[in-house]
Amino acid sequence: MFKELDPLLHSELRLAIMSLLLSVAEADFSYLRDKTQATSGNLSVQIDKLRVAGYIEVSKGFRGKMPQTLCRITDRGIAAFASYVEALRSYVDLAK
Amino acid sequence: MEDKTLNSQESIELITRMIAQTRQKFERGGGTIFLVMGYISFTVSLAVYFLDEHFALSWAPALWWLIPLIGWPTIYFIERKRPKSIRTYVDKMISYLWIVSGAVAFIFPMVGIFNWLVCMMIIPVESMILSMATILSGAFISFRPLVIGGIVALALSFLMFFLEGFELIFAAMFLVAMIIPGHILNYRAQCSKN
Repeated sequence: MFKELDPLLHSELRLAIMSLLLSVAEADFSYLRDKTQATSGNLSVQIDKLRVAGYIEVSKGFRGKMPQTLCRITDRGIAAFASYVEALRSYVDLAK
Repeated sequence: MEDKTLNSQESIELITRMIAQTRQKFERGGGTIFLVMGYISFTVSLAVYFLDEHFALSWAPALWWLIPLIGWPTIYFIERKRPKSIRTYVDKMISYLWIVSGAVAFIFPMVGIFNWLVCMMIIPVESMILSMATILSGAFISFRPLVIGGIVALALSFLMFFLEGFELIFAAMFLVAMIIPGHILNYRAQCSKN
């Protein structure tokens, strides 16, 4: 039986953002942009979609004199990611 | 990277690749805090020893307060300046460890105001607190020189209960637990960056 894949996570950039945030306590916008090689505009849009869904938290502040946007994954995001991986596993198992 | 849909195999590969990218063993400048605290404490320990031993200045022990008074603002300034785009869970644990250890190390000498027995043990106990924090920091980042330095420093802390001139042992403790591992840490970070 196939489990349904979360459409919010089943996109390359959003999944990359979630995977990166899962491994660190928090990461700033420039780090996510460097690692995903996405454009700033596209990354902003996808971060906002994840934020609206409650999967990540976004806080804006300053580090020294430089503005900084920090992102961190929420408990809801971790649960959604775990469900997504579980669903993926069912697909991979079936393909074997 | 774009907003395209992946198949299950691509998704798994992407997750694995992204998680692997966040593995960053030695961060550039990670040893600087150890070097700052190490050199300040080393210098103050020697200054207290010489002023006390050779000039018998009664106020010499007051110089110990220079360690937090100079060290903490310096660390705060360095941390603010250092570009840091991610904070890992290990970074968080190490921060909390040093905040708690620093607070205990700061408060403990004040207890000496109420109990003179505490005054006799301030330096050895401070030394133990800092050694334990060093060992744990080294264990968290899997950095052996810090763990070994911390263990040697802990052994020196126990030695302070039996030997005279604990200021010199305290200085040696900072040399092995912070200065040497701090330089090695920065060197490894530099190598891994290149």
